[in-house]
Amino acid sequence: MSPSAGDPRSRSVTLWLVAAFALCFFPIAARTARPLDEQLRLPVTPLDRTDGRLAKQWMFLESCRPHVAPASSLTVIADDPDAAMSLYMMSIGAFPYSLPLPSSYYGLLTPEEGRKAEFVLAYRRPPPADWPLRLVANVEDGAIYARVAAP
Amino acid sequence: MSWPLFLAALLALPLLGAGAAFHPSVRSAGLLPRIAAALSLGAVTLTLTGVLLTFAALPWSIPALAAPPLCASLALGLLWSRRTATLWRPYRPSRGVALSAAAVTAVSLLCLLWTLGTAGATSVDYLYFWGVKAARFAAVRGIDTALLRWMYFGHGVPDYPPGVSILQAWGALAAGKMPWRFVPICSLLWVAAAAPLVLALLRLRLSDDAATAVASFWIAATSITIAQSYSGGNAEAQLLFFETLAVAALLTEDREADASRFLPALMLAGAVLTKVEGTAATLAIVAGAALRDLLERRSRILGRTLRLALPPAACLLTWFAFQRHFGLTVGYRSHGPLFGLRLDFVPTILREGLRNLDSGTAWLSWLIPIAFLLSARPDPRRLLPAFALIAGLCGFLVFDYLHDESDPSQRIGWTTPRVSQSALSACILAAGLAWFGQRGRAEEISAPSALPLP
Repeated sequence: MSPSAGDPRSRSVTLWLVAAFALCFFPIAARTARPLDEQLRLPVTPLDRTDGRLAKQWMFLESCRPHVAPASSLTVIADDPDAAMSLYMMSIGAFPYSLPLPSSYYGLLTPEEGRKAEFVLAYRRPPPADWPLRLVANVEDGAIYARVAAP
Repeated sequence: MSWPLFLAALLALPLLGAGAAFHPSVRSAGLLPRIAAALSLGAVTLTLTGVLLTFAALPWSIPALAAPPLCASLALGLLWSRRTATLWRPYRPSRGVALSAAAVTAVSLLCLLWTLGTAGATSVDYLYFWGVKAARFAAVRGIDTALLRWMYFGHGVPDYPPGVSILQAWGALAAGKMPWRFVPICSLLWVAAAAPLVLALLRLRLSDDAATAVASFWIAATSITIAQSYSGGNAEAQLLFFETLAVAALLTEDREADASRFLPALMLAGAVLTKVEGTAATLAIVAGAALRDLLERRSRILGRTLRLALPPAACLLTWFAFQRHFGLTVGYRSHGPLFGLRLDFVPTILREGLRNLDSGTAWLSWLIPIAFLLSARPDPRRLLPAFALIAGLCGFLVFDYLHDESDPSQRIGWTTPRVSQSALSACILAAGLAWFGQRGRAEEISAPSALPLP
C-alpha cells in the first residue's frame, strides 16, 4: 500500500517527517542549554521554573498551612501590592477549607475585610501595630499570627 | 501521595464515556482513537453531571458524579453497537515512516513531560483561578456559587464555563486533596489522547504514510507550543483537544447527507464547556462547515448544521441557566462596550500578535504548513472549517485587544501564544489534507481508509 522510495508521494511524506524532526530540535535545544543536574532537580512548587517570585509566594503559603486551623478565616499581607494580590489569589486555592479575606484587592486597601480574619499571614512585612495579634509561628519569608479576642 | 489517585481519576474518564467507543463512526477505528472518543464523552457528561448535581443541591461524590455518565454511556453504547459501523482498513504505514513517527512522538511527548514535570510550563492562571476553583469545588462538593458571586473573586473569571475546574475537582475528590504540583503534568494527557484520533481521522482521506507524517508534525508542533505558552494546568490543552478533533472530523467527513456528525458535535460540546474561547471557536467552526456545505452544494445543509450546533448550544445554555439560577451574571463579560474600539492599537496588535506566534519554534510551526498550503493551492471550500477557525480565533483576539484601555502589548504576550494554539492545529491539518489530498488523490480514490460495511 505504501509508495516506493522514489515515488513523489514518498518524497512528500519524507518532507513532512523531516519538518517534524526539525521542530523537535527546539525543545531538545532548550533542554541542553542548561546544566542537566539543574534541570533534573525536582520542583518544590508548581511554579519553580515558571515564575520564581510566585514560586516563593506559593512556598510561603504552603509553609503557613500547618499553622492555620481548618475552616478559619485568614488574610495575607505583603510588602508590596502586587505580592499581596497574587498571594490573596493563590491563598483561595491553597486553603480550600478556609475563608481568605483580602487586605487589599488590585492595590485598593480593604482593611475592613482583613481585620475580620482569624489568622494573618504576613509575607516579608510585620502586621499593622494596631491589630491585636499573637505570633503563631515564623516561617521562611514571614510569619503567621492569630487574632487575639478583644477582652 | 495524592497524585496517583488524581491520575487514576483522569484515566477513568474514558470509562465514563465508553459508550462513544461503540458509535458507528469510530467503532472500527482502533483502540486508541476509540479511547479518545470515550474520553471526550466522559469529560462532557461528567461536566454536565457536576453542573446538574449542584443545580439539584446534591453534593458531589465519586459515585454521584460517575453514575449518570456511566448509565448514559451504557445506554448509548448498547444503542450504537447495534448499528452498522464504518469499516476502517488496517493501519499499515511503511516501516521507515512508522519508526520516524514513533521517534518524533516520543521526543515531543518526553520533552513536554519533562517541561511540565519540572514545573517549567505551569500556567500562573492555574494557581490564580483554574486550580483554585477546582480545589474549592472539591472542598464544598459542588460548584461553589458563593465564591463565584463574591465581589473579591472577580479575578477568578467566575463567568468562565466550569469544564476544566470540574474535571480537576473530580481528580481532587478521588485524591482527597489537590495535588498542585502534579496537575499541570496532566495537560500532556490531552495532547497524547488526541494524537491517535487525529491520525485515524486523517487516514479517512490520506494514505497511512501521509496521515502518519502529518500527525507527527501535529504532535511535535502542539507539544512544543503547550510548553512554550505555559499551558500546564489551565484550559488550553483540553481546548486544543476538543477543537482539533472537531475540525479534523469535519475536514475528513463524508459528503453524504446522512454522514454522522456525532464526533464533531461532541467535540464542540466539550469546547464550549471548557473555555469562553471555545464558544467563539464553535461559532467559527459551525459557520465554516455550513458555508462549505453550501458552496459544495451538499444536501440537507440545515439538518446537518443543526446536528453540529445543537449539542454545544445545549451545553452552553445549561451553563447560562445555571448562572441565572444562582444569581450569577448570565453570559460572558466583555472587556468594554462592544464597539468601543481603540483602532489606534491596530499596529501594536498586529506587530505584537505576529511576534507572539513563534510557537516555540521560531515561527516554523506556522511557516511550514503555510508553505505546504500555498504550494498545494487547494480548493479552499473543502478546508473551510479549518480556515474559519483560524480566521475566527484571530478575529476574536484582535477584536478583544481593541477593547483594552491601555497598550495591549503585555496582554498579547500573555494570551496570544495560548489562544492561537487551536488555530495552529487547524492550519497543520488543513495543510496536510491540502498537500496530500492533491498529490495522493489517485491513491486516495483507489484505497479509501474507511469503507461502509455491505
